[in-house]
Amino acid sequence: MRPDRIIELFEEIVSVLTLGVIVVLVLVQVFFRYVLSSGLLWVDELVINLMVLLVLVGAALATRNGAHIDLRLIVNGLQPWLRLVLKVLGTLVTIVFLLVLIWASAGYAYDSRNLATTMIGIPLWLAYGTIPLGGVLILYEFLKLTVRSVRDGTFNSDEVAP
Amino acid sequence: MITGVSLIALLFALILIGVPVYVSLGFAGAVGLLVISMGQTFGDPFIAIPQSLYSGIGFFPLLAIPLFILAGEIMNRSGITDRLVKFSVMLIGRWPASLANANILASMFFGGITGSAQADTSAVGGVLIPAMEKEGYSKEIAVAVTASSSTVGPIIPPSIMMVIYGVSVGTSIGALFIAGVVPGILIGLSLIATVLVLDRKHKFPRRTGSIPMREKLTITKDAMWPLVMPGIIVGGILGGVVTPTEAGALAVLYALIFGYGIQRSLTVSDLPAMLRRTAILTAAVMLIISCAKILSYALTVFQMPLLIGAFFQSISESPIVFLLLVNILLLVIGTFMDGGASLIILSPILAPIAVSYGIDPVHFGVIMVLNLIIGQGTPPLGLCLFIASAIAKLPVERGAKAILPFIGAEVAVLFVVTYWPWLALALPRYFGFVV
Amino acid sequence: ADAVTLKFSAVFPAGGQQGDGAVQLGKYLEEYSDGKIAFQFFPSSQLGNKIQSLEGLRNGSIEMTEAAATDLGNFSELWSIFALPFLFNDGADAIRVVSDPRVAKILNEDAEANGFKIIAWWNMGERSIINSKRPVNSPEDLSGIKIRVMQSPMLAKAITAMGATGVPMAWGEVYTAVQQGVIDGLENSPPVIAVNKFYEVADYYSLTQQFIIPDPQMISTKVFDSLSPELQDAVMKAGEASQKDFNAKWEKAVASDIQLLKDKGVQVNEVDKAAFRKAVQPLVDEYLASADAKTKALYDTIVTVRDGG
Ligand code: NA
Ligand code: NA
Repeated sequence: MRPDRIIELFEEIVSVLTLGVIVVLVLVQVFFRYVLSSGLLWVDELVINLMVLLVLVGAALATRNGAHIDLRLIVNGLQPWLRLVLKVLGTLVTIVFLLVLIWASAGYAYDSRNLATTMIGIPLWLAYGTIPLGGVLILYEFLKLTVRSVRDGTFNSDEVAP
Repeated sequence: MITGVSLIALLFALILIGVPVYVSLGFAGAVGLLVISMGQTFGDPFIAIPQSLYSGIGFFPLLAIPLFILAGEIMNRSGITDRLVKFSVMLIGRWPASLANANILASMFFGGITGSAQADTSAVGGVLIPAMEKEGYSKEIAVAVTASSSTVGPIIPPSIMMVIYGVSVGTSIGALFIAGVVPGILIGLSLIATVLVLDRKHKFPRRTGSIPMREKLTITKDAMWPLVMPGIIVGGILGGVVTPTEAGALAVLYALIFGYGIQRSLTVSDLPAMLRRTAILTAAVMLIISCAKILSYALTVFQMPLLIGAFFQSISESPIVFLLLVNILLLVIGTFMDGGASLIILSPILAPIAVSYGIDPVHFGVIMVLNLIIGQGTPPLGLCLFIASAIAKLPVERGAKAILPFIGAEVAVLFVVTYWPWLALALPRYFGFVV
Repeated sequence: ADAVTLKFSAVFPAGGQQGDGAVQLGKYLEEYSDGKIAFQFFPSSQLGNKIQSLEGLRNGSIEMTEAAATDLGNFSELWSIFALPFLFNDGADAIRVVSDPRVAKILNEDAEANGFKIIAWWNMGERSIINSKRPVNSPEDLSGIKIRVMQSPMLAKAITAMGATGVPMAWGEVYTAVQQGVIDGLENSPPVIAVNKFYEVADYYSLTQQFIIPDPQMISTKVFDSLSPELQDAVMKAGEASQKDFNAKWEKAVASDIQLLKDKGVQVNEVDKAAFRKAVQPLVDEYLASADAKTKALYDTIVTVRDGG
């Protein structure tokens, strides 16, 4: 299997499973509260950490699928040379932000390496570590799309990516 | 103050040159943190980036967002759109501009199932734009009616935007949901009124045939299942059976029972596809709101909430003037900026000011959401307008012109709701959500 | 030179007991430093929740914050001791104990090792149960009553051990949940119950007083260590003044808020706590059996000081 396909599968499996587990856990919580008249103390904490994982890995999948919201209308109406300048600028801004995100969040996870969440003791390097992991995946997907569009000449096209 | 205003200018500049909204927010925020790190600091302000992402996503009430998206996704794939459209067409019957009005009515029903305006535009628009064109409506009117009417989605509960406001202001999400019911219906009625007024000049196609009684029964029966879902959500919250997050989980369960048990239109292999799509949509929404928190943190350190509060106080002590200014500000911002991001950045700043003017935070939430969703139907960043134009293969500029009277009607409702708080607060008050 | 700016990050809103207390602390800081300290108050979680604020102090990006003593348990096990039910006789007693040099030494050393310099202790009173079903006098009265619990194992388990059904829930949903009957009640101190108008939705406030958790006011050690000795002195003096001022006002607020609850029609009853203490004792034993040596030493010291040793 191609490495890119493996990465895609990883993103898909993690997103789908995480969301599935979240839904089941919330339903179980409702069941416990109404039918058994009690609550599961660990559910909330597990679920919110799964949410962070879901969103960060899902964001990479969203990048792959061109699902992040942006505004092309105004840029598309400009002269091609100006559009190219802005597109290059925007690409650089995105790369810089993602690098800062990865660097800052990796440091954050590292600084919390000896700590854990209070209810179920998830190590914080793991809980916080999903942020740099997602950042790396998003950056990978973004660079891949950028390189591809440069190669096939659609980098500066006003066609919206499929 | 200057730094704060410069950061907001940078944000708009980045959005306007086509940088993804989440990157624009995060980058402007990171620049703010850089400025902070160059002043007096004892530590590394960039810690605010991972903190904002972690806490901006990992907060229990926000779970309602993926749950309502998933419930809408399942209902959608189970084929409720056709049922709701048929039911709406049947109810509208032989009214003038029948199909245009059915489009609006269908969006109101649909709004009770999804929490997002875009989902409505693609679903209802996907069916009704071609149908309207076939009946002889212009592409412009089809796009204008579809895009404007789908904005009722986030006002009629459930609503992702209400969840975001509730979370960032610390107001009951249940109260906000209930407060949106009457304004949502008013928006729908105002759009129908606009269609009827335009009809006097344009003479839109009118349906003539009648539907046999037997078929009417079938259509009604088919529509009941999807129409029960808003009842579960609103009723569950009103009756005190569930919290909004739990209502989301029940909505998912109901949708699954409907799709797999009643309708039997879904296969096992649809499930991962629906979860995958929901994960992508959730990530796109929540990455934006958590990156908005980075910028919000920087603006807070630069004392923007205090400065803006003092600014409003210096202009006028009258809540009427304050609300007027807020409406103008938000209508403009709503046309440029993503609604969720605007709420994350602005509601913690504006809501406490509103409260100091004696405005109820639930009422203020309805006002903010109304303002920001109206912008979804207008350029430059009007996603509903984009989607509807894309479906009709119409240049956005032409759709933008046709939508103006409808936007006017929505703004009129906005002002009525703004200055007559009773419209938003009567229901939550009656059910004891607001004191 | 320019004044040193100290950002004080809090989750509580401006106004109210704590908000006023923060503003007063700022006044003391500015006064005792002759204006060499500029105080900025960020209420309502504007700069982040409790964990973020504490992380900010460790990092130095946020200079000051306040938290419940139990919140420090996220960084060091020692602090989970404050989650033990019926640990102190009442709030004022808790302040006396944590201010005693023997206890303070252990707490301060641990806090400072984690990046927090404690400058004051605020009395947050006693947390008692309010519910919409009936007055609570014994564990049996709590049977079948759903009480909102916090996201902390000990705080949650103790409520269950006292006889109620513990339901974890985000604070923002609690009012509506009680009002709608999703849960029957919650536990908190009289000022918090009063300011959030829980008297509108629940009629029985029973002074069970199971948790007594004081709030340390903290400055980042990174920040504190970089201040001149003269400013360090000003910070500690301001802390001392704040502790005295806040705790005096708190006692008054508790009395007037209990009266307010009564005026609003809430039935307030005193409780014989013996049966509840007995019900939670196995939890306490279990906790101490598994606690590390440092935590056990702290517990012994607290008990000695509390009982007048
Ligand atoms: Na909706
Ligand atoms: Na529509």
